[in-house]
Amino acid sequence: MADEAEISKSLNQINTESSSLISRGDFLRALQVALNNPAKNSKNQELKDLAANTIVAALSAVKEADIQKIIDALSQDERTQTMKYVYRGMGFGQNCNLLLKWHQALTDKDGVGVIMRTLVDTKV
Amino acid sequence: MPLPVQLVSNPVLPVTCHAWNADFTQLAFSPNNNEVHIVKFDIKTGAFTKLFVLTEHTHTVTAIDWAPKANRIVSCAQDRNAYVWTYDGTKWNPTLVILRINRAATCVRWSPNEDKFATGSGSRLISVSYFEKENDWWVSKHIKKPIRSTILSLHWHPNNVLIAAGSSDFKIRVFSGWVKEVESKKPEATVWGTKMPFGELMAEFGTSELGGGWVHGVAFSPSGNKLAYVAHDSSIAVIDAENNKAISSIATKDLPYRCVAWLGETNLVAAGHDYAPISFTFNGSLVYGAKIDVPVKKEDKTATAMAKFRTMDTKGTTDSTAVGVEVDSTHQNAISEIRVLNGNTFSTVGNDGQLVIWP
Repeated sequence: MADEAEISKSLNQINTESSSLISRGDFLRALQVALNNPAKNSKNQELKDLAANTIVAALSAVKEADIQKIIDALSQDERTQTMKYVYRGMGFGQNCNLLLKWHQALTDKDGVGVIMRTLVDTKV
Repeated sequence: MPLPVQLVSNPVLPVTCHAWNADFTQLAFSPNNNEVHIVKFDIKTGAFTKLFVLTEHTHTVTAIDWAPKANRIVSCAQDRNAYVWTYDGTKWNPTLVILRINRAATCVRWSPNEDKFATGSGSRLISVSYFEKENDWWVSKHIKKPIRSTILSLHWHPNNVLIAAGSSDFKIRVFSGWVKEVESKKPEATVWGTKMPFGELMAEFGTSELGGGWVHGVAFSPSGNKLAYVAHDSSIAVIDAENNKAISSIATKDLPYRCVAWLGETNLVAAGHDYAPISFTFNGSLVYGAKIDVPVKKEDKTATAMAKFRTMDTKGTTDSTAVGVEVDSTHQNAISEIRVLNGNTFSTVGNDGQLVIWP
């Protein structure tokens, strides 16, 4: 349980950092900071939802024209993580139009493999 | 040019497993049911004649392996049994193996010296079976810890002792399958470790920190120093035991592979849900090669005006690709198993009932 408290604290920090990066317009860094979260090690669904909300907020803030540039700047592992949170975001039901554009761009880059990696992940 | 052979037709059924005899003149396979078919096969022409249909199993046969030197076949099935078949000149005779498992058997492999075989099962254990001469029957020993889910794939190390196992708990493990009743001496130290008592876990690897997937196929390289695996997260990786067990993996763009095999020390081939084998090379790090397939161009079936109007009516388009159900790869459905014949030649069987030989 001590880990959960640490994870919670670290998630809050990441949340504030990511929000400030979004307001400054640095969407790439905002996404990278938010993706690098320890929520996957937690068993607490609320913490996972908190992490997902932060990332989906970063994804939704990006203009459609900039999606491809950001994807080109991410590493393959970061792209795989992004795809997982695109699906999470579609589960929330907001901004699905934009999330589908993310889905298309990620599939063009990484094929059906990235979708498979999303489907087999039990920790997101 | 790949040589496709429709093994099962009328009705077309998937071929789930296959095994060749010593000189590749006979083939044993199962058409996704409780039967083991043995056919005489000509690998140059692809012509085959049915020789035997073995029906001792009561449930679907999941794996077959043919020991080339001893000329014995072992088959395992979802009926929790394995049979060792011996040929007496006129027919194949089954001998029941007491595996002592309470779930289906999933995969079976003879050891390199053919004196024992390992069976993976849904009982979360590996049964290593050997022949006890005093009682004239096959006896099994279990490897249980720390397997936490179904064993999906097995492969023996060339030293006849180590077994690599891929499981649906996302892990690849190397166990010792040393059976003192069968081995003449203690095994020599390998890059995987020095002490190898039965059931010892020599090494364990996870598929990915980002999640991972069921491990569908594992294969030791011919020297035994490298271990390749393919998993359900569309990844393929090679563990180099000589290089401090470093894992070199590729997260591919394809659908997951079901099986993997080494063609020598540096070349691999993997095949699975994308209907075509893919080649890889490993020289310190794993590199994606190419899809090994020759697209088969299907003839345009909507040539006549009548046919064009008919397709417009039923399918809403005159595009010929929307009409046919055939795919333009050699295999028409997922590939379930690869077997290496010799050198760079290998055979694949798939859910389309075909066996394809790739020279």
